[in-house]
Amino acid sequence: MAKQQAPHRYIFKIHSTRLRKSKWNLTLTLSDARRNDEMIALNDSQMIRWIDEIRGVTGLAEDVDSLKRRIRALRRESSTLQNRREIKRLYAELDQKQFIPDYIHLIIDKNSDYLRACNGFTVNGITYTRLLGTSGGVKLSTIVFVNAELAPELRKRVNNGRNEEVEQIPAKFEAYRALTCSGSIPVSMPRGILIVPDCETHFSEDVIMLNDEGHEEPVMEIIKDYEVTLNASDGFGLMLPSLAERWSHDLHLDYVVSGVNTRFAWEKGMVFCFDFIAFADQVAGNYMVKDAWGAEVDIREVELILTTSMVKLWASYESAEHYFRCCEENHYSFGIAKTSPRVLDDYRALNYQFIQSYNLTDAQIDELIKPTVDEIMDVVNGDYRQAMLFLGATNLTEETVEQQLGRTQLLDALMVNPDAFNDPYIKKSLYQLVEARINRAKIGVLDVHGNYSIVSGDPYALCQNIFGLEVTGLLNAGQIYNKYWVDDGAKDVACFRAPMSTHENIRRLHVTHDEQIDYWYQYIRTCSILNAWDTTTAALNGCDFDGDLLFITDNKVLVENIRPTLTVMCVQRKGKKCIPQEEDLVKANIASFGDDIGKTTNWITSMYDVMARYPAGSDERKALEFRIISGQLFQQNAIDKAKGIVCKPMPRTWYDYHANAIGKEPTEDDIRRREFYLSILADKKPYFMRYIYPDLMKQYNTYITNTNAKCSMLFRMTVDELQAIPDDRLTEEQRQFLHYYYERMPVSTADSVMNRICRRIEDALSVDLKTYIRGSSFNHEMLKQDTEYVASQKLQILQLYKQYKQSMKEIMSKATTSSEDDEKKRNAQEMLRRQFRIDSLSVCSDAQQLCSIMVDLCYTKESSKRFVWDICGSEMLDNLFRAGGSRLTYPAKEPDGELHFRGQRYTMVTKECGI
Amino acid sequence: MEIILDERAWCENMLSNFSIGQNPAGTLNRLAKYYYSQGFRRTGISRRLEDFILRCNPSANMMRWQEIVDSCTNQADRRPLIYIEAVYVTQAELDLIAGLSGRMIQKLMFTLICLARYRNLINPRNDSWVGYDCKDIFKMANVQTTRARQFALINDLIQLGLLQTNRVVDNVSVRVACINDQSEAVMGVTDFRNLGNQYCNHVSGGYIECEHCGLTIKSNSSAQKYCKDCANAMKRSWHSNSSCFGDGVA
Repeated sequence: MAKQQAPHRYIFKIHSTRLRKSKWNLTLTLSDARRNDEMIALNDSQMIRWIDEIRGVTGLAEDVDSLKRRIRALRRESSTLQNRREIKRLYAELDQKQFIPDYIHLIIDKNSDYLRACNGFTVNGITYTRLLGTSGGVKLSTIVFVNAELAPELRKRVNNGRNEEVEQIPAKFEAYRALTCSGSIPVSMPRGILIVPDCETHFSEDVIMLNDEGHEEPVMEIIKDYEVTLNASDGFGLMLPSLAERWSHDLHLDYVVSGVNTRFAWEKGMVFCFDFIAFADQVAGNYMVKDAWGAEVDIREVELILTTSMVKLWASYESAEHYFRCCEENHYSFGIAKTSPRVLDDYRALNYQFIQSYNLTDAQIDELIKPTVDEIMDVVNGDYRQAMLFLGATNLTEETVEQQLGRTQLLDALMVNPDAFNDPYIKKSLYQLVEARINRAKIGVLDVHGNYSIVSGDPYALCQNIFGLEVTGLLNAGQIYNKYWVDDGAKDVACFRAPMSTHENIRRLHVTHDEQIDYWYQYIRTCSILNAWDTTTAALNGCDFDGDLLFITDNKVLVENIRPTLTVMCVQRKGKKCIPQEEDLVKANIASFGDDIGKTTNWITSMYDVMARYPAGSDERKALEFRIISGQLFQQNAIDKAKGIVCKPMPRTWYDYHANAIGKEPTEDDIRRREFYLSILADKKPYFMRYIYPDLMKQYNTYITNTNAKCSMLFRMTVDELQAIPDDRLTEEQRQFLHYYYERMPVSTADSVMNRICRRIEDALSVDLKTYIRGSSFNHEMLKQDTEYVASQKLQILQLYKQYKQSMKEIMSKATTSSEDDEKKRNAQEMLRRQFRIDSLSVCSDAQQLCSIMVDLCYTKESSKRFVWDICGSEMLDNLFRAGGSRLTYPAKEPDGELHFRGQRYTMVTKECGI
Repeated sequence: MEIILDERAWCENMLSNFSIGQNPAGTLNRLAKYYYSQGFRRTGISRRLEDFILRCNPSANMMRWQEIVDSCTNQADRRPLIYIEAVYVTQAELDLIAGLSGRMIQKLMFTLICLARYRNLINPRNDSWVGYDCKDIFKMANVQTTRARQFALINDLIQLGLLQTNRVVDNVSVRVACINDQSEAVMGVTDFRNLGNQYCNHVSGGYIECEHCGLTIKSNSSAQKYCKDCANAMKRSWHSNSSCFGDGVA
């Protein structure tokens, strides 16, 4: 994948409460913001490029590099007052370069705060005004504000001269405006861009139709030969191989991309590499095509084809010429947000959503979990070579090994000096990773032979449509093309796309290729191509081609156990259109705050657990099957909420005990219905989910402790001992206790597939990792050089060390319940590390001297060693490298190698390096 | 867990020593109530709590304390400061305890009665329920034994009808069913640390109160005046004082 070339930029990210308390006029220094977790790193985007341009910022990357080089040089010199001051000054200058004061993220704690903030607020003397809310941001109640001075110009550029009389759905319109803020790398302008209408195909297929309009519960209906209209080019376009090559060069990639995710004015989508000029030559026999406005264009003058589903507001422009003229006037540059990889992975991990709907036997579960269990056990057994493979050293060669350095500190340490395996910090960090991996395995993160790939529609079919030919495509219904799986020889593969809920969302597709396919798709090496003649996209929970990822595996258990199902189609709704004003956009933001998708998905997962309690064919099971299928509709509704569409949430009677209350004079039917509903109530998260939610884990552990205490108080035995007593020998009181013990359990412990996987992993990997951490001797002298230092410096560093430990403890003590939380934590840690690095170098600017102080502080006691690795990691790696004889040791692929990892064999190789 | 009978005096002590204690949230909660009782309202309480935190730890990151300060400030008016002169145990209750066989069970019963009476004083509708963690109860009772034996002791008291439990399987609260207000109050408890030792001292003597902190401890010699912690603290203070003047200048 392409890496950001522009240096990271930093912005403030502040809670509205903080502003409210400061009476909407806050003063905040950069170092305070870093300590308070009020600063985030931001990738380059069109918006940042505009702000830089308006502010006259040029040559930033060179300036930042130069400053960093100067800091590195000073770190190698002795620690003098002058050097320390200079380092501090350089860091301040670096901050000034990288920090963007004109752009701020505001986290809205209260809706009233948002309305107040829209009237403007001040931070460090700059007045801010609302710009927009990004799609990802509004889910987390975060809005972008910008310097009021720049706002009119930025708004003008975002608007890009569109016809403002054209009606829009406010929430969608806001999402389109926010495309200017999404991270992208600028690339050269294509020589000729064509915007064409989308390619639609029509066919009939049996489907399950779900409709929740006008009903308390959705209505499910099987429709035979349903007339399907498919947008076979939804979100993708085409680029010539010459453009792919040029952009790959622009992105500093050492391969030619199969597809890239682009950003331009009102534009988002994938473009895949396809030789449409050759198509014109060999298939169409004609070079003239019509664009979306009906104008004739010579295809030979085009390098990039976009579809109308990519250029969201194409209808707001009079012509292509008008659109591109506006783009030029408003200084839009073509940006790349994502690229297809050079090669696809051989092994990737599943997640529980992919597995939960399967009906698997214990033997099949064992087969599915075996590679994961084996991989973890190999590391647990204490072999540093397996540890290196576990840490990701799976594709190293003599040429690439040095490029790997600097990516993972743990792996670097082991490569430069295998003795580092006995370093208590390395060992502890490694086993923390293993522990986290074990816990992830318990929630269904299981390694299988498979990979994620960007999905495309059939480019051949799109070309046929562009040239006005009959659309046939190269793939038939039920077929998929992916070069990796063609080369692998797989016949049938299982396809998944998250978020998914029902078995109907899994598709078994046939991998196909022939001479013609191989020729036309020759440039699409690492993406998957779906056919244009079946409902796979709808089955994959509304997949489109604007960068969506598909998980594909040929795992025997997963492919052979797919049950044939019909595609679930949900009644589509559209939001209300208007000419959007600022108030409409603010209202749309407020309506979209929060994210219900996770909640809805969890209720569906709970239903699988309840379903496991009932035999196949029972009324309860049938009712739950219906509810699970309907889950897709409610998931869709939760997604639509962000698009400004008012939809029904899942009926509360399905998951909330109290919602099933009946009136004072219930009929017999009411009572019967309530009883039935309560018997299939999905009000508890499944047992395995306690490894996802720390709160649930705490609740479960407290429950187990308290029930054991209560049982001991009442019966002088633990719950396990009570459970072991045969039922006929239990007293009435004991029987009641056990009944309520199961009833009040905070998690559902039924034998669903996921709970069974979780329990089997618990049994298979019940190792005490702490025993592996203890008891190895390590000479920490190899981490430092023989440099002397003054005691007063050590004392000052000690103070910083204490502050660092306290700050890290505060960050780590916050429970994480989502990947956003993890991301937030990582950002907070990174900001803190940077601040402490600056503070430490202000005490001692000689990095090796600082390293010696810190090693002496951290390694002579049983205390955290993370401080020294965070601040002086590179110096310690240098010292380890010298102590290890200046060579790199790594596992390399070898057919007869002694090490096994994910189906490959490896042997250890040593590469001598000069200092 | 710390049971404080005079929260006002406790707060004043914490404020004068700039000590946030082992349970910062508990301390701030009590201080918020203290400031509320002095007539301060939200902004005033919040500012004073922040000042107190900074005095205890000048390098504290106030952003990270904000949530807890806000929560304590919002709850300041929920309950008044606790002031209980002493918790009294009646003669009938002491007789009942004396009738139990074994010192461990006696100390436990005494502790539970004290706790039930304390809770009843705080909340008149408490009806003698004690909901503290078993670990804390046994620590207060000065009963050191295995967890299994602890539950066996509670089971004994349940069997004797002196304790009652509720029907909720994960609720370990017990109701002390032998509170007797008809009899004369004969023993006043003002310190909830080492309740078991206080009971033993009342019954058979042989215990002293630390002259510094008031903790009831077993007397090992007639010269003993202080508990172990206070004695160590004093030793440290003597050492630091003597090192100041250790060169004979004094």
